[in-house]
Parts: sequence; C-alpha cells; structure tokens
Amino acid sequence: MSGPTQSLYVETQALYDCADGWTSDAVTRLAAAKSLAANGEHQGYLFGVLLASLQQPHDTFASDATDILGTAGEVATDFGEALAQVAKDYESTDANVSTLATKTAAGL
Amino acid sequence: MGERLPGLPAYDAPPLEGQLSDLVLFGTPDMWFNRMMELNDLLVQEIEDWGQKIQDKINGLSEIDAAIIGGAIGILGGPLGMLGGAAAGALLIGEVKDWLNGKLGDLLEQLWDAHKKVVDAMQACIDGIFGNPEKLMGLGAGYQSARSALIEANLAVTKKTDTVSIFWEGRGFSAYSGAAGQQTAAMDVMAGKVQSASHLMADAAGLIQQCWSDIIQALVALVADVVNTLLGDIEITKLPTATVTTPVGIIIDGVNFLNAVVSAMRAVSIEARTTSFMDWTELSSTPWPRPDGLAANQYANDDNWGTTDQ
Repeated sequence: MSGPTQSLYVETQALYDCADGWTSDAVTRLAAAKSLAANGEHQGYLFGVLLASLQQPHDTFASDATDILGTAGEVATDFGEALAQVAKDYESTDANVSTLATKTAAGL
Repeated sequence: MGERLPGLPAYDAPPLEGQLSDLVLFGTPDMWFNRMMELNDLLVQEIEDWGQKIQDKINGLSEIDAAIIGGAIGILGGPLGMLGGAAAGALLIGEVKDWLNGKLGDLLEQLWDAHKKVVDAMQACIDGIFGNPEKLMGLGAGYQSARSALIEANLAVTKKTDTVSIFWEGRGFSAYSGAAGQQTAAMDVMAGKVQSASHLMADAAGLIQQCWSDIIQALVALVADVVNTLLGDIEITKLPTATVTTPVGIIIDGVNFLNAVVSAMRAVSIEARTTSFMDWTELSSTPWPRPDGLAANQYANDDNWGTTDQ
C-alpha cells in the first residue's frame, strides 16, 4: 500500500490541508458559482421577443448549470471527507507511528 | 479554457442617412419607452397646432381673400355671380370657408393616417424588443463571477494536491490524483461555459441598446423633419393647392426605418438560432464526474477512485 515518505506530522498535515482545500475552498466557491448560475434560471424573457430564440437555450443552460454545479459541490465535499479519512488512517498506522518514533529518536 | 466563442451575428443597421450618428444609451425599457411616448406626443401636438393655425386663418377669412380663393376654386359664378353688395360677399365667404374646412379636413386626415402608421410601428418595436439590457448585463456579470469562482476552486485544490504529492505517493495517490484531475478539468469546462453565457448576455444587451438607440434617433429626426415642413407659414390663399406630401413622405420613411430595425433584430435572432453560436448552452452531454464510493478507507484501492459520470 502507498505510504508516508516524510515525517508523519508533515504528511498527514498536508493531507488534512488538501482535504480542507476541497471541503472549504472548493466547496465554498462551487456553491457561489451554483448560486450565480441559479440567478439566471427563468430569466430568458430578458432577451425580449425579438431575441426570443435565445430564451429557451439560456434558461435550460442556467437550470442545467445549477444542477451540475450542485453535484460538483457534493463531489468536492466527498473528496475532502475521503482525504481527511486518509490522513486520519495514516496517523494511526503502525508504520507511520514507527516512522515517527524512528525520526524522533534520530532527533528529526 | 476561457476562449471566447463566436459572438452574436452582426447587427445590420438599416441605413438612414445622417440621422444615426450617435449611440443614445437607454438602460431600462422604461426610459426608452417614455422617450418614445414623448416623441409621439410631440408629433401629435405639432400636427394639432398646424391644423389649428390653418383653422384660425379660415375663421378670420377676409372678403378679399375669399374672392381670390373663390375665383381659384370656381365658386364664383352661377347664382352667386348675379348677386351684388354685402349679401353676396357674406355668402361668398361662407361658401369658401366651407370649402376650405373640407380641404383642411382632408389634409389632416392624411397626416393622421400617416401618424397612425407611426404608432403601429412604435407598438411593434415595443412588443418586439422589450428586452432588458440592464438586467442582462447584471446576469452576465454574475456568470463572469461564477467563472472566477470555478477557477479559484480549481486553483485551491490543484495547489494543495501539488503539496500533497510531495508527501504522498504510490497507487493511492495516483488514484486520487487522477480523480482530482477529472474534477478540475470539469471545473474548467464549466468555467468556459459560464464565460460564454456572460458574453451572450453582454452581446444581447448591446444589441438591444443599439436597436433602441437607432429607433429613438430615427423618431427624433422624424419629428424634427415633420415639424420643419409644417412650420412654413401657409398663406391662406395658397391653401387650395396645398399638399402634405412632404411631411407624409417623411413620416412614411420613418415608418419604413422602424420596420427595418425590427427586421434586422429578427434576422439576428433567427441567425443565432440556426448557427453553432448557442452550442455551448448544451450541458446534458457534459455530466459532472463523480467518483464511486469515496467512503472511508477506500483511498488505498485504486479502483475506488474510478469515476462514473452522474
């Protein structure tokens, strides 16, 4: 199985950071993007009758984009949670504890 | 990523010599609509004033003028010619006034008929292009912000994944990295699509504003031209041969212009629908990639980072 290559602290901290990148940064921004796309739902009438051919494609786009960005946010949450679990598991593996002990003993 | 898709087809403004030099900006339908109504009111007022001016002259018709006009229109003669003195003069004035009133009525009818065409054309413009550039621009700005948010989301996870790659390697990381790459690629695709949406809003808003501007300028010019041709003081003795051909012609030109603007807008709309311009709005074939079972403890198995589209 893939394992730690550096000190336990740095490694798991990097994983936790990355998990946070998904659950905080990415999720927040994807939610913002979803909300902005949702603002366009049912707004096609703003094109007026002479540009009416743009109404339906726009409204469908806004609605689909809202759904898709909603899924994107869910997936980003899943990524973050999975990575956090990875970090947590690494923290508790014997190999990692052993590595930490070795490095601590060596004054690293 | 972020490459601009083809814009709206060109708006082919109909020619109206010397009148459409500037873009007059109207942010909201109300502003545009009110200006149109003002110009229409002005046109009505001018025609009414013109008619009243002529009416006043008819009412104050002198005997001398009546005699001249009577001669010109052939009212002198017959039994009238046999009479003499004041009685004959009064009869002549009455006859000539009646005739002139009839003539004025005919001229006004022609003007109002032409004006009716302007009103109909204005209504078609209002019905046809009552879009809202201001709100379209607002939506466009929102889509542009959505693009920024997607790019930031991508940068955030890409940067932190890069950091993790220093400390995490092997099959687990490869699997995660591949799945993460699918996510960021999907973010890029959506960033490009919302940017295209933003451009569509801006293009449409600009098109509507240009169209409104052209219409208002054409109406301003139309009203000014009609007023100019009606301004010339009509000598009452010339009324029998007077025509309103010139102002009616100007009004009809204006009507044709308004109709041409509507046609040009309609052409853009049809062209947009029948070209690939709107292809980017199709999202049903671009589902978001969702990895299977990102449950706890599955990170170590490559297969569990595989994705299925959802």
